[in-house]
Amino acid sequence: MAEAVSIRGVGRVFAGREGPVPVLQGIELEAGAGEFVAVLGASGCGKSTLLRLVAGLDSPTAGEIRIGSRTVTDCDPRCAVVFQEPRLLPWRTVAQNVALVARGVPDAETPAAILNRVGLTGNERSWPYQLSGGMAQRVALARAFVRKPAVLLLDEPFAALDAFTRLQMGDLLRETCRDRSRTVLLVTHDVDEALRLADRIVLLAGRPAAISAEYATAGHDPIRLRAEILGRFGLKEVA
Amino acid sequence: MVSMDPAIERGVGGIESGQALARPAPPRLRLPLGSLGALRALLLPLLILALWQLAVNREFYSRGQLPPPLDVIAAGQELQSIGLLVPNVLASVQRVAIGWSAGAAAAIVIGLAVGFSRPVEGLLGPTLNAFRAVPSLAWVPLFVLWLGIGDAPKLTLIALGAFFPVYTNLVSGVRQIDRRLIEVGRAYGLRGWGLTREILLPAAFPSLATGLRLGLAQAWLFLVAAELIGANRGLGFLLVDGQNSGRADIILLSIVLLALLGKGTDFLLARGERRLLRWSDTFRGTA
Ligand SMILES: Nc1ncnc2c1ncn2[C@@H]1O[C@H](COP(=O)(O)OP(=O)(O)OP(=O)(O)O)[C@@H](O)[C@H]1O
Ligand SMILES: [Mg+2]
Repeated sequence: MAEAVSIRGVGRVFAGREGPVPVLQGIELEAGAGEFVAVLGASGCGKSTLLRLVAGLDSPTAGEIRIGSRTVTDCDPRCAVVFQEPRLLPWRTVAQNVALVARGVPDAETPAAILNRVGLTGNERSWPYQLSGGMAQRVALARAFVRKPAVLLLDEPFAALDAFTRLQMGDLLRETCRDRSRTVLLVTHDVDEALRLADRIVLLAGRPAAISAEYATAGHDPIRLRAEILGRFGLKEVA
Repeated sequence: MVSMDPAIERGVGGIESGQALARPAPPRLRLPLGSLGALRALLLPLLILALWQLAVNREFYSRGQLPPPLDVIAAGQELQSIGLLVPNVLASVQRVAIGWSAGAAAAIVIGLAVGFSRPVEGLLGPTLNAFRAVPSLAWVPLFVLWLGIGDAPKLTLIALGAFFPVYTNLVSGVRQIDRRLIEVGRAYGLRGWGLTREILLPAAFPSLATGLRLGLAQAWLFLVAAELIGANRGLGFLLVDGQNSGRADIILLSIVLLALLGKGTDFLLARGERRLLRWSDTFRGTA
């Protein structure tokens, strides 16, 4: 079942060559159980860094992150991550990559079934090096879905896909999450994708970055919201 | 789906006119190495045999010092007829198999631990590197003193010879693993032995395979060293025996057998390596 994610006063300072580099500061974000939150921000602002903190792959230098009632100190088996790159294990075939993480998941879908859902039937026995970038990223999505995670962490999962497949995968993601059985944190720099998929959009901006604005998408005109968000980034709508 | 104009797909006109312009490539002078296939590997050995026979015919050395190739085969038949060929070969093969397996197994355990954990590296690394700096043959007197002159000191020496190439390659292999793949393992709940089995070992396997093959070559090297020092069986024993009885044909026979055995065992390892590395997308050399 879905778990709430709560990020309280989180900061991350990296050790740079010329002293400490604060990348995130005072991040406050609550995602309710089953909510779909998109984190929108420009390249290099710290989106991946934030997601890694939630995934337990890195530790915040300030503040605290909780999943449900548990503070994140290490990778949480209730989370599944789709990284910005596919990161498939090159020594496992496509189906074996999915099967590895499906171990121990109750009533897990078979690799063949889940690969069918991402449109990769017939590629089960391919090695990762034989896939195109977009195909590999779809395997990475299947790998995350098969875990039936309480919290799904997505780092620009569609960036490598063509516009067509991107829409398809977005629909699939929305379908998968419609029953609110998982909380989703989607990191993206695509405003339209955020508008289409998310219940709520938070903007990450500044240096060090913090949450600069928040919008609920329900009951708002997406066109006005889009203009408003683009305006926040100092961009004008191209009519 | 928009279907293409069939005329465009077939490239009407374009191809024909292109063909009309194409000139046949001038014949190039090159060795037909490509068409030889596996036989390519035999070219050099055949050349060596021919030179060997030539040297015998020209009588650079006396026949007792440098017997012709056929005499070497005859020596093999002679040994076989008195039941000395197969037992000696088997004794050496067995020593290499046991010594190499033991050395490689120890190197895999220790190499993984040192590669994975910096505290373990701090504890063991410097000492192991110091031991590696000692030419391994320097241990022989000590091994003989401690372990006697039976098989124990020989196996220890062979294991020691196999250990370091495997250990060194594995440690550096583990340290070259893409950190992002380890993160995948961690993010999907792998820890400890699970992470080692699913991520570390397969990712470091290309280096490990190199180490195992180098270790095997070392094992044969140390086998001969061990058997030269004192043995009553084995190919090293045949070498010493041939020297003591002035039989160059037996010495050459032992050398040829060592070459064949070393090459044969390496070939088996290389085949296993290729099978297990079907997934890898590395440069394999041009055709
Ligand atoms: N391990 C690290 N050490 C030092 N600096 C880092 C480290 N990881 C990230 N940074 C810095 O933190 C900043 C944010 O990086 P991050 O990868 O989170 O950006 P991002 O928002 O995901 O960008 P993109 O959209 O391009 O993926 C960058 O300026 C980067 O240089
Ligand atoms: Mg990023």
